[in-house]
Amino acid sequence: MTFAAETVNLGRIFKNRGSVVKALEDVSLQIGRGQIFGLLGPNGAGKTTLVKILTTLLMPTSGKAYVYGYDVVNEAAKIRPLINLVSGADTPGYGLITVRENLWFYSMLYGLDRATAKQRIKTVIEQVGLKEVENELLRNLSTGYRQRMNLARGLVNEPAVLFLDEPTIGLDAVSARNIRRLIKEWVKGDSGRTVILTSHYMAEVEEMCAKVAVLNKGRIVAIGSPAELRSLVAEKTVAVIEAWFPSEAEPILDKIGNAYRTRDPATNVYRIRVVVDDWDETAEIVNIITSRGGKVLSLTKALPSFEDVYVKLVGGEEIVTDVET
Amino acid sequence: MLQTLKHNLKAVYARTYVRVISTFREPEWILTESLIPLLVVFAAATLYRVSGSEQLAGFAVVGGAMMAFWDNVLWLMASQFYWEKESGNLDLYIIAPISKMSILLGMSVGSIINTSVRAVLIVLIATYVLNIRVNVADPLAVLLVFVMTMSALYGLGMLMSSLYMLYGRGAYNLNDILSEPVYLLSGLYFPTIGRFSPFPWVVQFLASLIPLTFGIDGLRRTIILGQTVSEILPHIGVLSILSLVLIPLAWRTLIFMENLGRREGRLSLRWI
Repeated sequence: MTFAAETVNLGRIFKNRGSVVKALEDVSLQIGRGQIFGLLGPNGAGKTTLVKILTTLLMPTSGKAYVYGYDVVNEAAKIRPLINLVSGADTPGYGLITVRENLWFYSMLYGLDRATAKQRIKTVIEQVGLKEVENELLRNLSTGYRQRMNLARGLVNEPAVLFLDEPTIGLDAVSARNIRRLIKEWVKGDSGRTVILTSHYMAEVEEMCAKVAVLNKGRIVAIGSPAELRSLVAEKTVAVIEAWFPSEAEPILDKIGNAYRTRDPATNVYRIRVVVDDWDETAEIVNIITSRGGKVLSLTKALPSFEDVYVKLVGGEEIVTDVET
Repeated sequence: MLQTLKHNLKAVYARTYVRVISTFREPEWILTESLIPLLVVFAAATLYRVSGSEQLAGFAVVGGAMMAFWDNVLWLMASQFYWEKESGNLDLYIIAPISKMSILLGMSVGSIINTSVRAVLIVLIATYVLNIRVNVADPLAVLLVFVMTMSALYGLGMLMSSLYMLYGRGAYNLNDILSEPVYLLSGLYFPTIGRFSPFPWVVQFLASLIPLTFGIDGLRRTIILGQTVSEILPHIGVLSILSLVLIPLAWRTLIFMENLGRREGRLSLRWI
């Protein structure tokens, strides 16, 4: 059986005003059918570029990519009926027509007959929880409802492969949870439906995906199930440090490797999570902090989490830990 | 083959529906966009009338009505893909299993319906207020010229839309550059081809390459001067040739630009 998606030494270079950016380099992936596959990585890791190539929006500059065995460059027309794309950053649709009319419009792009379109729209409206706003103009909807409409639009052609590019970005906790639940239900069973999900919310990826590829700077740095990836740090120890810094001393934080940090802007207190081989290494970290006038408020030991795998693999850049934000 | 055609016709219909319904859900747009061309029509017609050119006053009314179509082609056809790109719709059009030409056709048909309402309003109000003498001897001639003008003009709109597909706000500057010269050359204010034209033949020839020029002239002849189909055959011929060139050219350009965009990454990246 062919894969839902496959890439072989895939590369993509962007040239813009004399500068060359390697967005993807030598990416080889095989994504089986009937699962949620996660693409995890910081901003600029190449996740969206990979999705754009697989959805036929962008051609690779090297290597090959296939969806359901069809080449994305030469057989785009065969891929398009099989896929759909939902991007959390976009707000597609037309504001002066209703939710139902918008869904009807997109169903027409997939050539659904009247009866099928009607039934399909009814189903997705119920699935996604749009019943109470189905006759509202799109422009009157809140961000959460618009994102639900966007997801409903992505489901209206019953794609074999659904690409979700940061689908919960900017959503409140309840809306994000609802969308995650819906996606999981959509893939459940032996429908063979595949979701390829990009995210930089680690908890989202860990909760939803059967398999995850971690991308950094255009390359795949790890691939496996969340459990397999977690085993990469199973032998490690994690130190969680709460510390306060005078603002001029903040650059020293960069000297702490394998760490990611969050800051409370009200108190300027940092929460630093560091993966260490040996607990004794924490003494050196405390020393770095205090040497420039910083104060360690607490130091605790923690079990390695999925976030720590990510820290180890990509260095903790632009990490987002709180999926509920 | 038939199935593909049916599928694409559904997309044309759907895009037309969206454009028409969206406009009529905010009907005040129709009024505001009809009032401004009316002011120009009143000014031009009054000027011709006080200078003793009664027929030219009628010409100004037809020109004013057609101005609405040119504005529509420039601002709601040519630059439409820019907005579609901004909202994320363009990506969805590209990945949908349809010819992108169906989207352009749907946009065109919807635009023609919407703008015809505006144009009819302009003609009715201006004709009534200015007491213009309309002389339609052959309604079929009016219909033929109008249909062929729309076909050629929106062919140009589709071509521009395809050309602008990869560009962002730069398209707006180009629209600004094109707007007034086309008003002047196409004869919206006064006849630019034929015996009433103040221009030398070279300028008249260049003006005749704009679909609107022959369209407006043909409509003036059939609505104001009472000419019949046999008298406006050259107009129908030129407009047919323009349609036959512009629509397939728009189609080819759309395919070329889509592939160029996919190759260069300029289709959906918004920083370009």
